[in-house]
Amino acid sequence: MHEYSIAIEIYDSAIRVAEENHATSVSAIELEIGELAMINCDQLTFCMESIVKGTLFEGAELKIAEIKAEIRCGCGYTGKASDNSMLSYLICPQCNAPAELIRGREIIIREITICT
Amino acid sequence: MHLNIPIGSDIFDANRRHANKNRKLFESHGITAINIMGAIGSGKTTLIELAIKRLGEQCRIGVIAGDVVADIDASRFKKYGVPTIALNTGKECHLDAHLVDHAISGLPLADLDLVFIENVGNLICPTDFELGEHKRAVIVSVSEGDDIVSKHPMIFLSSDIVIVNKVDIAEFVDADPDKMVDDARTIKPGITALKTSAKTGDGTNAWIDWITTGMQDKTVKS
Repeated sequence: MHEYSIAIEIYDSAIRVAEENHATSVSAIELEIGELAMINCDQLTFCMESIVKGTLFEGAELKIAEIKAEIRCGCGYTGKASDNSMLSYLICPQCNAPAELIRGREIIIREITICT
Repeated sequence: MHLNIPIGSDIFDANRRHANKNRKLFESHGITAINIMGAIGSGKTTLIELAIKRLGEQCRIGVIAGDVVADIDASRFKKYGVPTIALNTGKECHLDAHLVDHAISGLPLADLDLVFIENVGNLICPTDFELGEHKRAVIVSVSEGDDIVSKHPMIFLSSDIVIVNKVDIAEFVDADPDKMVDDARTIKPGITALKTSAKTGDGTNAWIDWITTGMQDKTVKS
């Protein structure tokens, strides 16, 4: 399951920051996930809950915000795709030329809230 | 005391940094690395075997065989006497740069010119994980259905070549290989697209030519 390894990556990065800041526990972790990151947020939440048992992160609230996909084209267009189909994110809705996907595939750890 | 600690890092960044380290290690030994991706049963292992048979005399090849249980594919490569590392991923559905780093350390890098990294059979998860490769190949077979390319555009967007394999059985599975090539070119104009049959040998000379050309030009474009 893809989400499990992603959850491990998130945990590894976040625990490093928590320990560097001498956290005694963590009350929240905020993520931003691109709508095209191919992540199922319910599965990710489930995996995170399993991984953090017995750690500083046990009981922390997981907040996930979505990053909307954005495309850019040589014709000058920057913005949303024409619809929600995967292929539409690769084609400019203004001139139908191949477009560049500039946002929407990220998995960002925005912030953690720690107790010291 | 409660403190908000901003982090702001993309979790793919750490993998990307590790991949760059792997790529530099390959380059310090003059090695070209190719990431072979594709669905289960698409022909990844067979097309690597074919390359070993055709190129084994003129260049020194190594293989990192990644799979949930990698020993089965690894034993196929070892038959040709090429250094092979079986990279068992267990529960993981893709390789990442860290896993590949471990495997690289088991290869005799000073004695190699070309390394194939066979990824786990999957058209989704390997997409966002660079491994340190110079080129990315994605292999699909007609038996996956001729709409498989348009259903999984992201992996084609990040690849240098798409190989539509098993074209010898296309008529029996009602698949149109030309549609699969057209779909890949819609997703990524300019992508190298080949139609092959590893069984009959059709189109496989172009696969070998692409590899040898790639060894001359290690520019990472994706």
